Amino acid sequence: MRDALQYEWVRLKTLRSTWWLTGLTLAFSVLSGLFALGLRNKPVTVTDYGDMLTGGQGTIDFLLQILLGMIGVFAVGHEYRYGTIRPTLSAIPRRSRLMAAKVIVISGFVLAIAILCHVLRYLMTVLIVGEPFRRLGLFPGPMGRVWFGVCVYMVLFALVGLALSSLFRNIPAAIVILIVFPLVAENIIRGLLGLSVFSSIKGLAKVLPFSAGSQIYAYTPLDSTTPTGFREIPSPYVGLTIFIVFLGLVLGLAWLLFEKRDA
Amino acid sequence: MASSAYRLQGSGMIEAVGLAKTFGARKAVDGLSFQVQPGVVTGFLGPNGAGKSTTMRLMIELDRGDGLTKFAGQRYRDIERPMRRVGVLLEAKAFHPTRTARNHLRMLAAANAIAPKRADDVLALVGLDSVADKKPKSFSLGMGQRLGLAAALLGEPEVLMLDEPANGLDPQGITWLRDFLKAYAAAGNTVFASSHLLAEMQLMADHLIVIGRGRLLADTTIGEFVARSSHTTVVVRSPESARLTELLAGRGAEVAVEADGMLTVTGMTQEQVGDLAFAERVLVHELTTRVATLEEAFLEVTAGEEEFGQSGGPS
Repeated sequence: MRDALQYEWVRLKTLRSTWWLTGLTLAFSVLSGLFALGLRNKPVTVTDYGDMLTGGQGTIDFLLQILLGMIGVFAVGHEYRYGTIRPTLSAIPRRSRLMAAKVIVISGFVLAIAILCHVLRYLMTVLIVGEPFRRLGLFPGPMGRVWFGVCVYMVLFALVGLALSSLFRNIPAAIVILIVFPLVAENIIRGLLGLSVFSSIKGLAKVLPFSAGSQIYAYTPLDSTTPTGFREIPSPYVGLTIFIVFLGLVLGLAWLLFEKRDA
Repeated sequence: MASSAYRLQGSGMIEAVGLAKTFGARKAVDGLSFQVQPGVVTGFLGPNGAGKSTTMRLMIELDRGDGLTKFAGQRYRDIERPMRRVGVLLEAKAFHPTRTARNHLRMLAAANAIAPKRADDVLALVGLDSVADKKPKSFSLGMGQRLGLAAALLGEPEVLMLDEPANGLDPQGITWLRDFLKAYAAAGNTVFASSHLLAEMQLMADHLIVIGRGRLLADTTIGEFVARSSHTTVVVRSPESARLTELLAGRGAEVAVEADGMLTVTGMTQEQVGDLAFAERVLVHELTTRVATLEEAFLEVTAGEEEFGQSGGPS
């Protein structure tokens, strides 16, 4: 297993795309830290802290998730795109060992980058806002969970990318699904489930995997303007569990097919 | 390419038993069994679509199918650090276009705990040291083939299994490859290589495994393979050609009379023709065996076995 981990680490670090994706992730992270400029000379709230952590209502974070998710997609997708899967499996013929090494290395790498992103944002905010922000402490209110959530969600998101690219053996297909499903498909389904005709099954909106998973770093309470279908959300840890089950299913299927199919 | 440097090996026999693979209704490999011995170069021949590449992939379990292959008594997947025992080249240009040649090899080396420095050694061996830090996206087919060969040699394996290794190589590269593989086998290693360059295979291989439509057609030495061909004939020049023709035909041989009066005899050996002429007191001025080329023998053995046959010549 050590050899397989070593292989995967060398594969990852000798790939140019790893470093431009990492660079872009860190750059966007630092840019989103400029959000703190709007907090100067006014009282800082816990919600402001949440905005700092997630780049403001999660929009920037979705971009970071996609960038890090692509590192997951490339982990297997490149092997098929460039035909390196055969030399790779000639070097590591035990396929489960190879897949496990990819999951471990990608998880570790994405987790490290995710933590670095949020440390950078935190430092920028402290630098820009200064004392009022520092007075809130490191984990005010639910922010310990949000800190944990944004980092863990990014890792799980990248692993979904890895699983999808293994399943489809196709980089564009994996990336499109990774973007369209959470950003478009789930919102359409959620909107439809909000219609009165679907009222008996509106609870299904709770198990939409990406929306459920993202609850782990949610910190904004619902208000009266939230549409019906969007009110059906699980609690943070139930949502995280739903997302982990979803990842387990996709990765499990990908793993099974990786074992069974011709290389 | 640099001069070869490798360690003496041995005992790396390959044993394939009952290999089979179907794609839909088509049997690509159909119950194939054979052995590849160390110490000689074994050529793997077959028409296009005969199942050579599929067989090689089955042997190292890249493709899922039936049958079992053992390398020195072990399944490929059970070999700890297989690159140190079996070097495999299945296709040229199986690399990421922007990862340098050196890093490509270091990555594979890491998978089998091979020292990273070994990447430089094999790059020099295959003549790619000057482009070690270049991105291989601009590599020619021949350069890609050399990089694949370098990968196969990384672990100094006792078995080399190469699919079309001469593909895309220039004449110098082909000569180097031939000399290298012959010397590698002569050191006690096992070399199993497919090629569609029959003239090259005739110079390189000692033993042949020939398949057609996934089935074994021949498993023999190259000498026996060409000797068995009907294109291997005995050529006789005699002032009494008419009488000799009659005598040979009487012994069941097929005799063709060439324009210059030479007789081409099929179905009898040079010794048998000589003995007959001596016994019947027929004067003979020339008696030689014209050995078939590998191409002639191959085309004869694989006639009707092509998966993708030609319908006719150019119109």
